[in-house]
Amino acid sequence: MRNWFNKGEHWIWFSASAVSVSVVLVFGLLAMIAYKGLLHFWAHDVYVYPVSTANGQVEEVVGELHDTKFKLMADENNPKVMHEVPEYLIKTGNRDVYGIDFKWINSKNIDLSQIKLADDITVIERYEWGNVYGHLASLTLDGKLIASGADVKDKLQNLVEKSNVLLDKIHHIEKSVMGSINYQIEELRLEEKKLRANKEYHGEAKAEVEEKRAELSEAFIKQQASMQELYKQADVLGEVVLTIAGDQKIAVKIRQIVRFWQPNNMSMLEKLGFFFSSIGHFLTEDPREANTEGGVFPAIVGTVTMVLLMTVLVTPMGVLAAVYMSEYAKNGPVLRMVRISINNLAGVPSIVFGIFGLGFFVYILGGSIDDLFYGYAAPSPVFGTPGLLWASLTMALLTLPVVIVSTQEGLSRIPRSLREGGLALGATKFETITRIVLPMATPAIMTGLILAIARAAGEVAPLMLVGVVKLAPELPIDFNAPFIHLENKFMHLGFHIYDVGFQSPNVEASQPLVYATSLLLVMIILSLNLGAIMIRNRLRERYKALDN
Amino acid sequence: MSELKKFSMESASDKLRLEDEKIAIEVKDWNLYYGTKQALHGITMQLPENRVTAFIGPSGCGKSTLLRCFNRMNDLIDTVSVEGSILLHGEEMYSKRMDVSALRRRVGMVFQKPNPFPKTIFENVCYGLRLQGIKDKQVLDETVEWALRGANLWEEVKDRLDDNALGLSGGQQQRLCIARAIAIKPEVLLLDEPTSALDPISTLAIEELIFDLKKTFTILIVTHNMQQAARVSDYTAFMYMGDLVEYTDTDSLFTNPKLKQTEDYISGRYG
Repeated sequence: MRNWFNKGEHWIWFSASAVSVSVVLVFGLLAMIAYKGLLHFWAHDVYVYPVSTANGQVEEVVGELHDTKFKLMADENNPKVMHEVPEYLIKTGNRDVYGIDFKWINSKNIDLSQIKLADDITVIERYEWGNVYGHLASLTLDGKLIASGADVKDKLQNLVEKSNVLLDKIHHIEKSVMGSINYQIEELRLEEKKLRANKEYHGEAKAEVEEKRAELSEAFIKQQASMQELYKQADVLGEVVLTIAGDQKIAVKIRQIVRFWQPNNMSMLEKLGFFFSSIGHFLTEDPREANTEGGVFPAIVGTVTMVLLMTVLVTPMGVLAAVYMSEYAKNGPVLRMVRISINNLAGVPSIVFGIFGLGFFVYILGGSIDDLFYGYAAPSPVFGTPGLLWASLTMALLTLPVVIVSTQEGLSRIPRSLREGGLALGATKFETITRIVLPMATPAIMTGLILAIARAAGEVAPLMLVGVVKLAPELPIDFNAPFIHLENKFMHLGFHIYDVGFQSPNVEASQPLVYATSLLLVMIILSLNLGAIMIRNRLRERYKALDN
Repeated sequence: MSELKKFSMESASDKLRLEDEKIAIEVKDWNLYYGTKQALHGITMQLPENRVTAFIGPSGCGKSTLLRCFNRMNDLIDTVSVEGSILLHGEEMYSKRMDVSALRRRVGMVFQKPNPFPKTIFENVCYGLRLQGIKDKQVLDETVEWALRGANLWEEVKDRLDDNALGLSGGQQQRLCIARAIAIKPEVLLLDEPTSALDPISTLAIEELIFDLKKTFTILIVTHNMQQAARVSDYTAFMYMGDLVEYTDTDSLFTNPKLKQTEDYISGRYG
């Protein structure tokens, strides 16, 4: 035993257990988020819960089991003894009828043996008002019956497909075509304002603007008409009527239906198909219902755009600063001070950067840009308001120390002999740095960027001040020149998590969405990092022999 | 050793004398300080053209420091200050008007440890040419082949010029560095212990190369290895503690040293 200690075996065990705890924590965290998040996309079975009410009657509650919690309750016979009694949270849907989506049931009020699968239950996902749980009864159009009984399901399937085609067309017109026209009209309006401000709005210029405007409004009206036409077509698809518990009926317009499914009749394979199509919807759609339903596509685009823009901004700044400090600056108290300041910058709380970004970038810098170039747009600000550019710049500042420090480390690792080799061939110092030293430091620069990306993509607090908003269906990247709109506000997955989880009117409903979004955020950071790591490894491969 | 013998016979009949040589570099009363510490004391010497001159001496005697003065490599060290003058073909190296990069193109250098750039073999050799703005593919190709042949490396690498230079063996890397240095056709070639990191076979290859190169270049070599100095050089300078102790033709220095200090060193009594 003594020998064992003397050999230092116990230190090996300590360090090994520290590693295993970290590994377990990381994977445990990922597994929990993945499990809770992915459950959201599964087609859960729907059960009927016979609940006995206070007056002795039995009421049927139909829904998915969402959560179980244990409540301490006193024993009926002996009030001193407390029991843990399970309570079930059931998602019942039908918000328009019941008022809320969820219902708590105490297990004392149900006979557990009487819980059974709801036969042929249909779940309909609507664009508004959440899900409907009920039995298909009939299809009607203007009060007239089109179908009832067994063929309702097939007909409904057909109609929903038709409606989705129409809605896609409407969506395309609304977003792309009319969005583009709107963008041009706005540009024209600004141009007119500019001309007016310069007192040039007369004669030919005026005629040109007016002609253009007439053209655009005509196009706009035409598009509007075709959209109206499509809406009409969608309206005449009719309604589906469902029976819900207590023989109540709910009518749902076909064009309101996102999709419908019968979870209790689905095979495992069908459920898997449903699972993946749900994930597809989540990744590609806009959010609905105050962000608690639908997808997160704008938030994905916003996050990735912001991070990439941040990378583009921070790389030259950080690398140039590091090159100056380690290659040109004379070692001395000033350089030491600068180094210490940079290291301390990494420890400044991120919200402070947010405040700085708002105060300096948005108000001072953005305000001056507006004064100088967009005076005609006043009083509405263009750059003098939070936006993508300012958010990326703030993040670039936040991650600057990381990039500087790792670049400096990379530069200092490059052997003197190589610099001398370059100089001995008649290269100037500048040529040696740009042609030999910097290319060899690229793996270290990439390491800095990897750390910067990881930090920037996960940061939320400063972003709330400098450009991220709850809902911005307009993407910062689109097909209208100049394609990337630096002044736009944008959505961000991190903020989306906060918003859905803590600011939404329907916290219970959105909880799985919070996990799903977190999982997605982790995945995106991971894939951005993997991309950077792959580039770094390729660079390292090129310079590998130098390490020995 | 066969070369040494051949060389001795040659010099016996036709003894080398500094007074008969054309001078490439002239050093006059040269002092160098690291901060306040003096590392070279009033060195005065003449280095002949198209000859191999070896610098020998114990570690820290200043021979590498002196060598690095000939292409102003010591400029890179902040604390170094110098006085005196060094003339390259009559031109003052340390004058303010001297373009240091241009000087280094005229005085090439090969270092103790092979230091190829992490680029292809081809790019390594034509690095100096590219710096001069030469882009003509034909000129580059020809010069690379010429330099690699000159460095005795062409046959070994001609089929893999686009491979990374770091994949070569140590001896090949050092010959690549020599090829890189001669590709820009300098007047003088400085070799700072070029074989100290190499195995005997690579060392022999480089020594043979030096023998060939002196037809075209003036060669100055720093070495720890006295046999090597005796084998490859025409003139030898023995330095000790920053002083030039004895400087004469190699044959005389090794067979008939004038000073006791030199004799002690070459017979291995100290150093």
